[in-house]
Amino acid sequence: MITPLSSETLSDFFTFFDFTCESDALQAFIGLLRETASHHQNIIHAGYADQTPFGFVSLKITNDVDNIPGLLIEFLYIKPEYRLKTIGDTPRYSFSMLDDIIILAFELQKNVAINHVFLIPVDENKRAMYFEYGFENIPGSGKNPFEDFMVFNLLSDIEV
Amino acid sequence: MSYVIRGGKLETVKPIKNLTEEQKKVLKIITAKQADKIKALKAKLAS
Repeated sequence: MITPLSSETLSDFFTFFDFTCESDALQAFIGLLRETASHHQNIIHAGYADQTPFGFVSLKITNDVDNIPGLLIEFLYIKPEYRLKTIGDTPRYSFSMLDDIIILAFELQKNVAINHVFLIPVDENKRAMYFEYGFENIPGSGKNPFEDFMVFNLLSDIEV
Repeated sequence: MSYVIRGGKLETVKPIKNLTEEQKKVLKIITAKQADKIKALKAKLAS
């Protein structure tokens, strides 16, 4: 399961990660998410495998898609050594983390009207992964096709 | 606010407004893959 991190525990958590192999832009993104999480604007959830962090995801509530409330996956990171590997009977660590996010959305739905999980993939390879999981492109929603929002609907017959 | 990496730089994404009918359709219709996933996860929660 993913575990929400308090702002006080962020620094300790990130000592388990080395982002030097990632691009400058990605490192800047992660730095920004850490900063905003420390100000409670998003919550970073840790993914653990046998008590060792294998990745994290940054979550927040958004209305960026036509003022429709939804849970936004700002960024999902899996350590390189865990990418494409299986975990139990779930195909991939990333899919396991996405399962946990959808389950978290089910919990949110009990108290607030959240019927969508939104995201914008960081690159096209990731878009294919999210599509494989079940997310759908919202065509023409980005500045270019590489930046379209994707959505996972939680209810059928939704009035938009 | 959402972010993307564009041209090697971190950029903000403007919210989208006034969805077209085609875009609304994506938000209204639950796909078979989404329905199957929801069913499986709810079954997992119930077990």
